[in-house]
Amino acid sequence: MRTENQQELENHIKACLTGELESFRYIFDYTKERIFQYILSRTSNREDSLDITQEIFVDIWKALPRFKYRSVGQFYGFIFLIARRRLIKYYRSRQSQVALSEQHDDLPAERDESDFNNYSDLLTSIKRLRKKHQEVLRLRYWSGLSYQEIGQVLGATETTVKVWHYRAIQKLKKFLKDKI
Amino acid sequence: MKIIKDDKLEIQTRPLSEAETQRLWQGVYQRIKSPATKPLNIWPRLGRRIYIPAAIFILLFTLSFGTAVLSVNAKPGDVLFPVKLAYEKVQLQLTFDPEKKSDLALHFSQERLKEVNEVLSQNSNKIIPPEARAQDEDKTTSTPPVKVEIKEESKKESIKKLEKNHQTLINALDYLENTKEELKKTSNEQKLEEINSLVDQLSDRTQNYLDDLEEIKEKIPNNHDIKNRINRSEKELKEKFKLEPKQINGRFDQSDSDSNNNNNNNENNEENNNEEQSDN
Repeated sequence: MRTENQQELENHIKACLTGELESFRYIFDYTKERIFQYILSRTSNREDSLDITQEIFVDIWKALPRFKYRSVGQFYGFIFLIARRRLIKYYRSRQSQVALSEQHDDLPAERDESDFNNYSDLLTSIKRLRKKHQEVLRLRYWSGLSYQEIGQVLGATETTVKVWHYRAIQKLKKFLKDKI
Repeated sequence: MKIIKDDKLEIQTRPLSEAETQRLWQGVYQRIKSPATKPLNIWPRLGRRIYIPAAIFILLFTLSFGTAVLSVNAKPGDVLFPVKLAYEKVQLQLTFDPEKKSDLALHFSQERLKEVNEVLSQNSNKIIPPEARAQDEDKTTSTPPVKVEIKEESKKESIKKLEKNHQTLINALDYLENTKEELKKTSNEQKLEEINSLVDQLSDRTQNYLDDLEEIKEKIPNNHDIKNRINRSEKELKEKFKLEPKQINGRFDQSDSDSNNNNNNNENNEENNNEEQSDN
């Protein structure tokens, strides 16, 4: 199943090089949720995340001609690199950031007060982790990538990613000890 | 709700709604369907990566090639002369056929000889300071020479010309000797004879120049600075070219054996010693 998906993705990427918009729509559907959730985990603002995601897809479309498909993981590496660059531009353009506690419109619809607080604390705590540990958690739980795919995005082995993940969780536990 | 369970985060994210997806795609679609964002537009993207290095490469190539072309007519002492030598060296290194390589080396040696002739014929007369030259031309009667004042600038100019001639001869001989050594390795008798002939011609030209210097000395009897420098140049050239002192229209045969060289050197030394003794 997975191999078929990969083959399909590869075919669509190739078709994009000749300007096939339908194939690009396939790529859009294949990756939109992962990119959007990743951006949301960084900005905590749904509207902003939608705008940034839109910009990211325009960037992907422009950058596709210089991309050579080797694996799904490598493709994610390519799109998340574009996503991170776009985020840097976003942060630069935003002079003052809204504090996290003030705005969390990305929570599940059926949330209650305690969920809100827990989620808010979690995001604040994640920001205190090392950059690589933060990335692992975001790509794993918001974008839903496998350890192997995260490894390819971050340029590390699967084992290293697992170690980073473990350490990140242990740290988080420590930070959230009193709250959860 | 527990957020961390079994060393895993338990979070629920709100996925994109149908409306959000639609809005997102419309936004993307509007942007990418315009020709400005076509993915096939490879050239402008290559621009930054390739155009600048390419432009630098073309500029450097044009500059180096242009300099090499301009340097073809450079003479020893010119700014572009080292470029000419370097260009010749490159040409030699890029020639792999031994026959062609020795032909090229001989051609360059002939070029050195030609340059020596040009530099010497241009500069020799200028060694005499203009003041002394004017007096020499005015001398229609056999009146005794009047002491002329030679300006410091003219003196410097004279010595500069003398130095240039001197250095040109020395460098040319070194060049020919090096070529000779290179040709010896190929054991091509004919080419070796040709280079020996060139060395002989250079020695002849040096001897003629030394004769000219003697005449020049007579024309500037009152200036010791220039005269001393001429004497020094003469001595060095004689040693370098293994020419016998006061030898007129003769030259030392380069093909002679080393023992002969030593004899000549000994003779030179003896004569020098004699001169020193008589000075004392």
